[in-house]
Amino acid sequence: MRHIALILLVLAACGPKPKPAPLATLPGDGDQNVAKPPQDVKPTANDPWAGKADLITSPAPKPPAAIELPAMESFKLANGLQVFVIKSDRLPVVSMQLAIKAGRMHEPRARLGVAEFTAEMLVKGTKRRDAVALAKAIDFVGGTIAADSTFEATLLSCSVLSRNLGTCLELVPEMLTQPSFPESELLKVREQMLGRVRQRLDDAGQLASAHVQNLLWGPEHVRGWINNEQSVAAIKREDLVAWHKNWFVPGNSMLVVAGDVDTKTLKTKLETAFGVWKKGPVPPTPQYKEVGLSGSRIRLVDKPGQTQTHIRVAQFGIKHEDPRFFDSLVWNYVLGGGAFSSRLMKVVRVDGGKTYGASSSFDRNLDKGSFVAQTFTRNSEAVATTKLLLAEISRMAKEGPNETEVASAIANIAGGYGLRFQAAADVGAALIGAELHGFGREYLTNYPIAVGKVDVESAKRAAAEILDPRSYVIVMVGDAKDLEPQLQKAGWKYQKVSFTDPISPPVEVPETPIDPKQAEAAKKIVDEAIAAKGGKAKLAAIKGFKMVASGSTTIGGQTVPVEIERVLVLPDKMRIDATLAARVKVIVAVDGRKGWQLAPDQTGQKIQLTEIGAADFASIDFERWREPELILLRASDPAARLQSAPDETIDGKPHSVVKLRAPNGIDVAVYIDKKSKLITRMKYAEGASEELDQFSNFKDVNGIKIAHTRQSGGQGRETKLELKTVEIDPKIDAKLFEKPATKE
Amino acid sequence: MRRLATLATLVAIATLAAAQPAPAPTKTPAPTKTPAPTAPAPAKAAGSKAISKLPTIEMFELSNGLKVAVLESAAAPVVAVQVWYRAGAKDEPRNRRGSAHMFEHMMFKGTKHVRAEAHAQYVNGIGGYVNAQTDEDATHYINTLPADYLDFAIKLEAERMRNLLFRPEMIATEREVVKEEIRQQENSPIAKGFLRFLEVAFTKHPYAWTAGGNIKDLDATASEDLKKFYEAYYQPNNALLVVVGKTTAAAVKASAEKYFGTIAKAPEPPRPAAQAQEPEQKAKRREVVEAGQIGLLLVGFHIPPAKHKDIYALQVASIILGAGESSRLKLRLKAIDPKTKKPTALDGGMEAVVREDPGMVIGLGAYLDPAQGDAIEGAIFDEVTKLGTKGPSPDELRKAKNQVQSGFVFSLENAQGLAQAIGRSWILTGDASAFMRDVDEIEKVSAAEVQRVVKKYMTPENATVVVIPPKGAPAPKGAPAPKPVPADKKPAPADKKPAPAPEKAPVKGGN
Repeated sequence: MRHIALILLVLAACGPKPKPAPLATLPGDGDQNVAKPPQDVKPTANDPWAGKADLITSPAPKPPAAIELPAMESFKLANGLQVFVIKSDRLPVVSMQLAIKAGRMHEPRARLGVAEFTAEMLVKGTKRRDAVALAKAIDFVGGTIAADSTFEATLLSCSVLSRNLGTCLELVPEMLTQPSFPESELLKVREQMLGRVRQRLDDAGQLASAHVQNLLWGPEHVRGWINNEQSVAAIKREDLVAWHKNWFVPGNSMLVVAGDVDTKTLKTKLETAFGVWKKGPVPPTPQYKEVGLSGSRIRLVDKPGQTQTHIRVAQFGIKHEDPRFFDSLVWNYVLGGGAFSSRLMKVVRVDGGKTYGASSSFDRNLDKGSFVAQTFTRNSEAVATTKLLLAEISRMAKEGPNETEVASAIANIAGGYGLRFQAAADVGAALIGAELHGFGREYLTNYPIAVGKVDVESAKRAAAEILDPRSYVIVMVGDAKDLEPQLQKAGWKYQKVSFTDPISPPVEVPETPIDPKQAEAAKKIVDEAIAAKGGKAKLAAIKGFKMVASGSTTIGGQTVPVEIERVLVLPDKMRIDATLAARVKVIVAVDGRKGWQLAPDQTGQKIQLTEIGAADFASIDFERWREPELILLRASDPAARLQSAPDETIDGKPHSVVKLRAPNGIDVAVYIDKKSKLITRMKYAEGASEELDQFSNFKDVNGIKIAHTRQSGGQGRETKLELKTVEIDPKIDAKLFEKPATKE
Repeated sequence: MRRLATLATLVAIATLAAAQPAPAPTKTPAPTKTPAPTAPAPAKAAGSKAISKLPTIEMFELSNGLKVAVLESAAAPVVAVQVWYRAGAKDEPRNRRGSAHMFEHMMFKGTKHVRAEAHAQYVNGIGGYVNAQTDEDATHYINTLPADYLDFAIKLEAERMRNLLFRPEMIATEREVVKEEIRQQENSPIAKGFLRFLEVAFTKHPYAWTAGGNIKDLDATASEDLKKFYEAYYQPNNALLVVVGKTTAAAVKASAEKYFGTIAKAPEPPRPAAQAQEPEQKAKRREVVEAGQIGLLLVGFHIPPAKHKDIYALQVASIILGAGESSRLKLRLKAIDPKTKKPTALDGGMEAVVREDPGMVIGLGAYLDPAQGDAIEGAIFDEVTKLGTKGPSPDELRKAKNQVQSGFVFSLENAQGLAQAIGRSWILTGDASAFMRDVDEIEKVSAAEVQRVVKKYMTPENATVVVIPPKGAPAPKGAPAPKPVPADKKPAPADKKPAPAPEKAPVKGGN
């Protein structure tokens, strides 16, 4: 399938036709170039450094000491926003970093990704400026604005030269408080999120990391939920609006301004800039049941063609506030966090030659997170390498780190801590990280001292309590045909899945429930509109109609006069005869699931008879459903999800608004004049474009009010029509819908 | 993956952070990213009016030819100590691709006076960070550590410049490590596609391959090859010692002379790339390679080497075309296609990959819909043509210069990054402080200059196009079918609109 698509692509390529390109490979690709695994290399009997007196020795590390950080100010704005200011005038730069405590951990199951989606949309349009205007504003001064979400928070940051602080002060509150979530940008972000989900299929490392979280936490815990194409598609604009409204309140957020700032005037400027941000209640954080782990589970994720296997071994970790946190930093450094100073690197890479990288880490979160050891290796070494990981975890649990290792870990973590704070923005980011977990500035300055308090005993005890050599989960992502024999030989039981399977099961996506008050209000509006139009009985009795209209249509700036005759016979027969510019005749006819069209061909000279394809019927069905004379009757169908929307004033006239959902998923807004109770417009968004239909000049036809002046437009098209005659339930010759025998 | 494969990712694939993968995800206290402002290749980001006084780089040279660059910066008690060797993948024999990078690994495997792995362990043990990186033009060794240990870091670097041991079992094991590093590329269609792109673009010059090389050549690389490379290139007259941070030029000079001073000067090393100049490309090249989950379309144009006077204007051109969300390519590629009602591409951009020998400016688009490939390719060429024909607007020109200025100022924040900028400047131009003047040079670039270089270099005849197509939507398997997407075309029959049938819409045809 893939090859066909590729060949088609090659054939379709524009420009001089290339020879069909052979699928490119790198010399040296594939298994034939995999060297035999190195024999177990014993340490050389001949140790070239043994007994040498002139080896270079390392200076002693300094004892752990508090680090110096720039002066900080902290205050709250009138709306409750917590602000920290870190002044550093070393370089004329400044960064604003705003954290909102809304992240993946707060998401509902049926809306995975809403935090990330909302974050990305913040920079894509406000009530004042569209995405391009926002981008131009920040690009012009050479600054950057970024919005991301993490497991625990959403972060909006703005970095500029200090002379452009005003740009951040203008843009950040605007993005924060008035995002407009435009449909066209929603589409782009959704595509990008979809792209990231798809990309995971090409990245065994990402697959492994996602699978291991799902395997460890299971289906009832937020950490076990992994997004997929369906979950990306499930997020609608209303979800983003709701998420933003609920979570983005000053009391749930904090702001750090770091760099070259004038502290005397900054507070006033912030008050002014962020004053528009209204207080609101902070929603409760969802709670999850503790998950237990006993025994071990192995999941083999089959990705045919992988020449490397990505391996994860995971257990539960600790909370950030756990008293064993600093002890864990130390034992984890020794185990796998300390790169070349770690046991995993030594055993798996340096001595074993099995990998380029082996490491371990544990999450630093408010709630208990995970502990993961990871590596990757050529397929033939998968089980052997996993055994090495397990052996080292077990050894750490049983023996803990030794004195030398602990000293080295403390020296690195404490001694190197200050290296992280070169840029003022680094200090700001670290402060946010601390504050999010209830720690303050002192946590940062005293961090090295806290590390220094760890000793062999406390590290050993912590490792023994936290690491469990018997209970863990393992994920291997690789080619099953290479891995299964190894697993079977080792006697390991495993569950096998395909890399294309969703990682956490797809979820029945419940619709956001309709507010019963809105449904009630909408029903009332619709009933009144039906009555005003002619009454339910009359409308339901309509079997068809014939309309003759004349007007004009404008496309690409060109206006063309048009005469139209349209015949509709319910439920599914329709024919339109149109004359454009008084000379071009077009006929379209639909009968059930068949249809044909008579229209000029590309040259404009010949009339061509064509079939209407199956793909076009989706659009035809939507048009049928939206028929202005009948749309009010759709409202009583529960699938239409009738609900009211805020009133609007159009051309000075107050209107009620109701929303209906068509079978194809598109929401249509219907605007009903409060006085006349007649529909004056309908609006819907298809993809990125908005279509608007307007109705006026209502006249009575057989007791039914029908709009005789109609206008519709969108996407650069505009059509205006005046109805000349309207017949309800006319006699129609069935032959009208039959496909003509010959081309005319 | 937070960002789609951008050019930065691709270039990172090409230049391997070799000795050590990214530090283990210790989930640092900072959930935010330190912002990465848009800026051209670091060597060309430079001094600015945004700061009143540029930092100074003190330069001196030892009698054995070792150059030393020092930038005193008392911000944090940190010092970045790096040694840059003018030795990269372009110095490799064509049947030993990957050997420069493999050699880089050997630099950690023990010297006469330092046990295997001890260099890294020592530096870690005093609170420092160690790594190394090999690219096409250079290999550089990174030590970032508390400022107190400057002397020790210089001692370690001098030690391994000339005292490396070559032990067969070390080589055998490390070869396997390096192969695993490279093997990652085998499993990534985008990595493979980019590597193929370079092969198509460069028919003679070693830029056809990257520092990673390939597994077959690595298997063939023996101890003798590595020793030969070491003897030729790892010499004081082929290296630059860079120190940035809380120190003084005097202290650096003292340590440099003490430890490097005893090393003898060597003959100038061979430069095989000088005999392998890439001939002028006369016709467009195009290839379609294996598909990936995300498609990537690359359009590259050959540009002159870093020292050439046209490079500044080319950088401005590539910024205008592809740096920042309001750049021309990003706006064009991410705009909604009225036919499909979806964006043409997921993302796009352009970057000038400036090298010591002639490099490339590369435009790209990432996409999910296989049918959009032609549109993306067309859009890239079209935007290039437009810029060449009409030039940039005054606002765009000013914006690009502001971006460069801002990027330079931000680059001064971090000792390690700044040291790398200095090293890169030396590799590209022979002058370690050249990049400090670049903002002023960029400021001089006129709209006419931008037009001229676009017309001169970014032509179809000079273009290499490689398409990594996207695989397209996977067939649904068991999952509930996605909501039906409304038909992407047509005004459908209705009393208000003229006849449907989009492509053959009579009105369109008639008009």
